[in-house]
Amino acid sequence: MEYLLGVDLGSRSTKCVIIDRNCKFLSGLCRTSDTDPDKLVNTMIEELLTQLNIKREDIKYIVSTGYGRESLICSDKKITEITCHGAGANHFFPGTGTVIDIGGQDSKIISINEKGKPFDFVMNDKCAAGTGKFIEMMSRTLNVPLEDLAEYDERAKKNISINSICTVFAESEVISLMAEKESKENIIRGLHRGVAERTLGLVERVGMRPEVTMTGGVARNRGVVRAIERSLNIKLNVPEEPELTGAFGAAILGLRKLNN
Amino acid sequence: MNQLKIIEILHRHPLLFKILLSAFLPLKIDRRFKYNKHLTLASINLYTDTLDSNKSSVWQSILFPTEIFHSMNISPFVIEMTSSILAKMNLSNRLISLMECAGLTRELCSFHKCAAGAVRSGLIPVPEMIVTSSEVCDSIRKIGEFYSKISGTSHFYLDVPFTKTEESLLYVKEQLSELIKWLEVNSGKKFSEEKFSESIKYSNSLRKNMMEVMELRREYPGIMGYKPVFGLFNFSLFYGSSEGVRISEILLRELKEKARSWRPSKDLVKILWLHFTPFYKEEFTEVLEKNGRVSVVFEEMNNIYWKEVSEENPLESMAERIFLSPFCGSVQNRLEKILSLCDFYDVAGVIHFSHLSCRKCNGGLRVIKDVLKEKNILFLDLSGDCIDSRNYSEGQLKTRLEAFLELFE
Repeated sequence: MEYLLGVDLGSRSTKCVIIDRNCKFLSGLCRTSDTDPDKLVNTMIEELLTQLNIKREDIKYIVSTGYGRESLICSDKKITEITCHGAGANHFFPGTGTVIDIGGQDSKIISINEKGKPFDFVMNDKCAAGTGKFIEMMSRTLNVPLEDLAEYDERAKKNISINSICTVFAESEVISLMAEKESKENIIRGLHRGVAERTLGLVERVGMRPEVTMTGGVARNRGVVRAIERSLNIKLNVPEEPELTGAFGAAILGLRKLNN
Repeated sequence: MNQLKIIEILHRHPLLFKILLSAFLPLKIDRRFKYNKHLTLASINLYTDTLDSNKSSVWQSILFPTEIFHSMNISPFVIEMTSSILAKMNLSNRLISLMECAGLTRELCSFHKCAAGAVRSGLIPVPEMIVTSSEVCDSIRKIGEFYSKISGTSHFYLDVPFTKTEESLLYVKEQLSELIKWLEVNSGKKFSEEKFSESIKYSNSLRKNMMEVMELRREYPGIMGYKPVFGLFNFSLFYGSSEGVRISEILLRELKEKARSWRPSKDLVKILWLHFTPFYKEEFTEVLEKNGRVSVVFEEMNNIYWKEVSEENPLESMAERIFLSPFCGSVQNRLEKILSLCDFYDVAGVIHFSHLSCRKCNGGLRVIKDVLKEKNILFLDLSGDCIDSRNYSEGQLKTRLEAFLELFE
């Protein structure tokens, strides 16, 4: 049997996905990114091989994506995360016209055609506002674990606004709100609404084409997903493991390359 | 001794500076074409003339017509180009910070802040005359006024109205007449109709040659490389001089020679580049050379959008040219030029480098993008700063550019 590997070396986390030649997802892993990406990826590959009981030589093609794509020695092809997220989102939700990918340090809005090929995209500026890093910092400031944020959001009693778009200034605003005895629930909803507003601004720059699929680690936070749904007034598609979409797309593009 | 001090000393010794620049700058440029070395050396001559108190020179804002200056043997140099040279020397950030500490906001154009910082710090002496115009933007006028205030240099401001009408055309033409008188007073040089007429002939010859370059680049896409070619923009300093004609002839000969064996791939994807790129670091555009399937076939800044300057009525012709500038007036003016270049080069994509503080270029971007979209021309907006490297993120620019190239696969 022959397999394809997609590796997404993001700024916050590194993801690996293995698929077979029928484009079937077999397994995937997500680990915190490391200063030695080759070592990390090799360890992750070994783990996947053991899990699936397959040999390294059975992996016929490796595509790397993400900011660290150039650094991975073992990759056969390097493709940007924009193209990979398009391919991944299209596979999970073939009706996708727009992909919202909010990752660790950037967010992208990608317009794709019916084959999952991008034809327009925008990315956030170099600041981390509205990205995974922003949410992570706020969860630390509020002392609420990342995985609990959505629950807190659900319990919020009112909509408050976090006006600062800068991560550092937003943190000061959150601290001020806490000092004013604002509930963590309301603050968290406010933060999620802030992310949604920034996303809306980016979506408007390329134009929204339904269906809209959200990918990237932030899509695990149901609070953010709900806030974006409200602000776009549309139901979002979210893959089961949204953070693996880019790596999965990379593996799919590897398969296409191999088949050609 | 720090780098700033060395540069400051060199600026006080124009001859020595000219020798050093002439020895080192040609090593840093694209040497695939010989014209580039000639053009760089000629530009260095103009630059060092502005430092030499024995020579008449003028600092001017970008795209200001140079024919009058050349006819009076006054060396022109573009203020924004000074900033680009300082950026190449990695001095720009310090000079920008200096002006920000002096109270200019971060949002002001870094081209202008850098040039202002160079003067304020005493790094570069101000030449005897400064000419600015509102053709492109308003902030350059303030820089002209700033120079004038701190150095006592004479400043001429050409007020270009937003819209071209018979009255506004006449208004600009009359100001160009006043400019001639102002130059006579401030340089002590006499304006000669005969020399001006000669300058107009040179200008038209250079224009004709550069139009031919445009044609050759259309016929042989990628012939000058796959990256944008900003070296050509230096020709804008030479309209009205015999030097510009001489160097453009070298370029033409080289292009025609190369065209004999140039066989561009039939499926080459053609791209038009708008605005500039960062001057301190251009590495991210190497992606285009490496990709090999997508080529920037032309740059907006090298466009010859004006008609021949009339020998009978040159000042009116020059006033017309100012109004024709893509950066003058409404965004529609720029859009028309862009669409015409898109047609001429049959491009599949357009890349715009949005210089962070350039309201003139970035303000109308959405209009441009939407019209290109209607014409199925893919558009990429790269944001960054041409002069301030603190606003540069190579990874982000490369990802955007590579992703854009992948759209054509």
